[in-house]
Amino acid sequence: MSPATKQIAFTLNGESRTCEIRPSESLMDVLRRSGYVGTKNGCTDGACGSCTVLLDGKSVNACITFAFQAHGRTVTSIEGVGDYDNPHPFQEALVENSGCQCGFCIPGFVMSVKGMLDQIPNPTHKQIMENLDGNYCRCTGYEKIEDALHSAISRTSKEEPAWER
Amino acid sequence: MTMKFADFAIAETLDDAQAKLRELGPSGFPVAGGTSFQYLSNRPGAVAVDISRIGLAGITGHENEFRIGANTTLTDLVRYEADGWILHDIATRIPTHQIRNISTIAGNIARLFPWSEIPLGLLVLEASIVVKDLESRQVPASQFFATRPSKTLRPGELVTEIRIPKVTGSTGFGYKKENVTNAAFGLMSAAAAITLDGDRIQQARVAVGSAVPAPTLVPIAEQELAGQPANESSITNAIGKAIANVRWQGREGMTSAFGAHLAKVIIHDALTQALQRAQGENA
Repeated sequence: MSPATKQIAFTLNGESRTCEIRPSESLMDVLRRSGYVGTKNGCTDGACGSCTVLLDGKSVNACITFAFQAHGRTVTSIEGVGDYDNPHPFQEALVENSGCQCGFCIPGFVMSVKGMLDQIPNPTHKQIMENLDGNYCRCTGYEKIEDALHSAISRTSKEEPAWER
Repeated sequence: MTMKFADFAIAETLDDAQAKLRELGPSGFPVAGGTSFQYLSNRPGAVAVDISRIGLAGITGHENEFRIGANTTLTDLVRYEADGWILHDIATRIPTHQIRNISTIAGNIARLFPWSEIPLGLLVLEASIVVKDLESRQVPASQFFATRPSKTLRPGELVTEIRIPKVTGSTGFGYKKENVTNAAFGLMSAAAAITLDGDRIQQARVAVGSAVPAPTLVPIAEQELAGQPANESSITNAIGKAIANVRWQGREGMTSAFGAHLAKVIIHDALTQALQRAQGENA
């Protein structure tokens, strides 16, 4: 008889965690029922990017990642990126540039941007398009989000941004 | 997710993965990136075997070919740079970044869907797929994709490597894809390779995907183009006969008739790009 649930162990936002999971459960569902509801449930088929988390530093759709795939790995959710007093530079820039309207997509955008900037601090426009092609926003028309991204890169990169606005 | 698993196991090595899958028999499903399972229907008692930690990742350049480990992600295919490397042309068009970060090349070719894109490049360049059961064997791409690999591979038999020729000299590669939105699967996709002999086409290969049951070569186009002058007219003349011999399917609101029309355009564009590159143009 197969077990109804099984335990996995992983690092979530810098802390060791164990979780009982069902074999087919998605990483998104496990995070959300564990209280990490900043990971949003948008499309549930890997199209919209609102559930984006970092798995070993790379952005993935938590809705189509099986929870067992996180076993032994490092997961970063939006709760591990920044907070009100100490926001990520992109979060700060989103506020300053009015980059959020309804806000539903924003955690996913922040995770994708963090995943990109951790690897490429001063991305080209082509690299930005490649890294953010899996995040949808249905409010802003992307302009304000791009403004915020440019502002964040200007603030954090030691060089002039490789991408001109 | 559509497909439900009754249990899962984590494999630490290739031998471990093969042993677990052999023991499970038809109930065992290797999971690398895992993104394709949302398109599979339920199989009662299915057990996932996570093969993402068994190594087999990375790309190495050899004299005439590239060797790509089975667990190499699509992002790695996009970012790899070397003379003669063409798979970034295809991988860049596979949405999205989050999916490219976790999907693997072997997953993309072992679970075949109409819209599977990497197989098109492997078919036109006559790549080979290294499959390991107890021993390893090389399978030509045309043979590997003649049936659905996930149904013909035996339990425990896994793809370990893909070997794809470098595109150099008088050979050019082209790839075109049409989709409704950036995140959508292709309505039509085509890859083409043309090798020139002076001002004539020595050899041409075309593969199509999306509006067909599974990625497939279009041999009529190859026969029609071989020996013809290396120009636009030869391409245009060959396409009419080529598409008439393929049964096109409607997809995502597209009728089969429109599929045939789109095939004409996309195959033309892929062949033209291949020709221009074979002639040394930066197409």
